Amino acid sequence: MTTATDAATTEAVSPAGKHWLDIATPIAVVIALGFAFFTPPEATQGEVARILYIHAPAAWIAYLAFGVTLVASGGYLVTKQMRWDRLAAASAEVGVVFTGLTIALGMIWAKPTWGVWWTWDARLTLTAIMFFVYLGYLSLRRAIADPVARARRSAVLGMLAVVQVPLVHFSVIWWRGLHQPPTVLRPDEMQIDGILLTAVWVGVVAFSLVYAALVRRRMLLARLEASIEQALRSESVPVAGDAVALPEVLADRVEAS
Amino acid sequence: MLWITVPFGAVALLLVPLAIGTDLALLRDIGPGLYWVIVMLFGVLVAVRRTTMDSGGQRDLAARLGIDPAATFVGRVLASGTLLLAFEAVLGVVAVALYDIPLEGWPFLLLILPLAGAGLALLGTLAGTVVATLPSGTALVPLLVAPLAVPLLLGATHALEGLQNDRSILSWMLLMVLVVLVVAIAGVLTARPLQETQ
Amino acid sequence: MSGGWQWVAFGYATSAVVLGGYLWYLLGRTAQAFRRRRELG
Repeated sequence: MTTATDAATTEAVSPAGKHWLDIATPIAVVIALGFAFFTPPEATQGEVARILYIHAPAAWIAYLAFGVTLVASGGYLVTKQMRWDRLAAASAEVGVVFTGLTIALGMIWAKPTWGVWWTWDARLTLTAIMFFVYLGYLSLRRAIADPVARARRSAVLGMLAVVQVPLVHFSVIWWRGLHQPPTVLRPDEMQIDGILLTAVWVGVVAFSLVYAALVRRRMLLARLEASIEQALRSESVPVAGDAVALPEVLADRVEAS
Repeated sequence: MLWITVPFGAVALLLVPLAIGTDLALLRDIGPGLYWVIVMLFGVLVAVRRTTMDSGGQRDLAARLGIDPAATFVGRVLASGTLLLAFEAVLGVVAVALYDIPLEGWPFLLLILPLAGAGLALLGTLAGTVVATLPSGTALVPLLVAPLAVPLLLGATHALEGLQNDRSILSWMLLMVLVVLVVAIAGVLTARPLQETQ
Repeated sequence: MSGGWQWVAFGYATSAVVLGGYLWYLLGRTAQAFRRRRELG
């Protein structure tokens, strides 16, 4: 079997100590919530628009995480360092959480606003497709036991996604452009400016910190599990030194003779 | 493999009207799209089987003989593509029959079907190589391919639609050509890294 | 928009459950892994 050449797992892994992210993130979230609830209600949609203060940032993170996964996949293929693979996997896992959340929030916002759960607009459809690309990536990783094979194969899938997703993006937007629904269901065209826009941006900052904090923890977990696996593997391999227990016996025989 | 997937695809085409109704106008409307969805979802299995059937011994031999993995990839794609074309053709006959799909502009089908088949063969072969030797590999491939096959699906469906409504299909054809080029390049570039894991 | 606040609450509750749930899962698995790692020395 292939061995993971990974310096990071040979060191003793201690629990995650206090990191600035662990402090900054909750603060940012509280500030964002403050903005979300104390800004004036939006002109046409009223209170329901407050969902967008988390929906839009979640969507931004979903795409960011996707990009990070793809870049990290390339990073692994080029450098062969497991660190990149851990980043790709962590970003994918956190990304799928945010993507699912984006879709759920989009639906929760759409029902009272448009009367339907799903509007089939380009952005929503693309997010759904991206969700399934994530799921496929994670399912593939789950199916591979060997860490190096897992890293390499999922990196290849990542690369395929890098080249193919722009085409997916472009084709869906084009398709939607041709098939305008009779009633204009354009969730993105709203008058959001001024303080409301600030609320969205604060949300983006807060969620970015949440993303970074979660990815960091997920990567630490991956390192821990990799070092566990390495420890298990070295335990099961018989050590050559075990066979060398003769000196005492020889010493007895020498004494006896 | 064709002996299984072709009847399976045909049964799927048969089942849909049983569930949604046999209104001829509706069927004519959804026929082309449904045909391509079935081709994309089931056809990809045709491409996969070829790669997962290669035994580890065959792969080792190929590696030892110094056969370029990219060449192997291309060879597999051509073989799968041929099978897919046959798959598309037979299912096409079934779809035309069951859904009363008009055959206006049928000569263009000679371009559309091979293009779509090539794109699907490329995606399926690449995905098949990624999951090779994995126990759940074959089951994984449709999941991996389906979201990435969207441009192919949109291109093929709208090309057919364009034929029926006498609209330009050039842009949709170019989209499919782009997919074929992009996935072909990805497949060739990743052939060697993938070989090293097997 | 009648019932607007209910939908808002629904949305924020969903976010809290999803993100909080994932964090809780992560922390749990990390604690478990750390214990295991210490066992293995």
